[in-house]
Amino acid sequence: MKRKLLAVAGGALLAASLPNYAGVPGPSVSGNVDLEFGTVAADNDASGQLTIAAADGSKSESGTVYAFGGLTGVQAEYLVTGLTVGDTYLIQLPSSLDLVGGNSGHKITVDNLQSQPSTSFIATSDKATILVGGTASLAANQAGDTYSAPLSITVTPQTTN
Amino acid sequence: MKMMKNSLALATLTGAAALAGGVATADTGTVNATIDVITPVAIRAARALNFGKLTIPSDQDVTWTMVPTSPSLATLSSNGSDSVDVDTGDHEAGRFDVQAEAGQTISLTVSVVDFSAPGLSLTIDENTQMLPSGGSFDMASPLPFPSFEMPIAIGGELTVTTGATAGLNGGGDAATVTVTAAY
Repeated sequence: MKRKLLAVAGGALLAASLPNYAGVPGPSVSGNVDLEFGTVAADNDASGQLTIAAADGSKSESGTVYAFGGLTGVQAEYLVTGLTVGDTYLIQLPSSLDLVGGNSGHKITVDNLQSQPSTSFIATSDKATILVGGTASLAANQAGDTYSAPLSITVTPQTTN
Repeated sequence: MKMMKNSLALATLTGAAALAGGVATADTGTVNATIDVITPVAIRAARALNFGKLTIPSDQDVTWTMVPTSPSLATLSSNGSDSVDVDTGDHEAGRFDVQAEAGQTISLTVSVVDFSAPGLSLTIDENTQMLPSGGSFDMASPLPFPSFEMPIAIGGELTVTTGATAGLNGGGDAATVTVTAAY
């Protein structure tokens, strides 16, 4: 029993002398600005796509879709803090997400999600801004509604061991 | 007792190995993605947008601006010098008629397609060259009528670059202007 107590005490002393590896500083990501495609009408007979560019929020149309309020959308914006200058960080985006109509329950798929910077970046200060855009695909005669869904990104430090 | 000591030693070794490799701590941030889909309403083209006959200078670019002042009238001006003639009697604003239920807020959007004549460009500003202006309007409520027809007038900005005369004579050039109304 005496030996057991010594062994436990030794382990506790060793743990206390080590740095707290579970608390290694990591990035903190907060969502600042929603991704907004704006107001759009679908065609009765044909489908169409609406794209928001990650870099500048510009809006472009393809297929048959009618964007209202001009060709400027709002790209998503995330603020990343707690970065270490010179370290590389990876950005993970979902491959697609389904926006759901609050009244109709119908869906609009958003894919081709792209970020600015794209897939990784090297921190030049302790914080960085990540912008995200994507393409919304409207079906012919898409029901009028407000469609929305949460859009999450994950930022991970690139390990160098 | 002997088994207990071995177990403790193994646990300590595992902790040290994890520290040497580093721990990648990720974090996730979330925003909302939204899109507002509105429903088109009936609209029909009623009159073509016509800039009339214009004299094109050979030595300068020129822009003509048509601003509708009523469903049937529009002013036409140019930024050119005195050498640029503006035939103010031979132009007409385009017109569309929107049919929708009274009381609805109607959104409008306009686009120019199929206008590929070299040296020519046509743009239409929804705020300054469309009546009603601002991209939307409230459909009037002329009781007791349940629905109402609203005329939409459009002008535009026609720019001709120097020397772009090919195709302008003998019938002129045509563009397709699309106006969409929805609520």
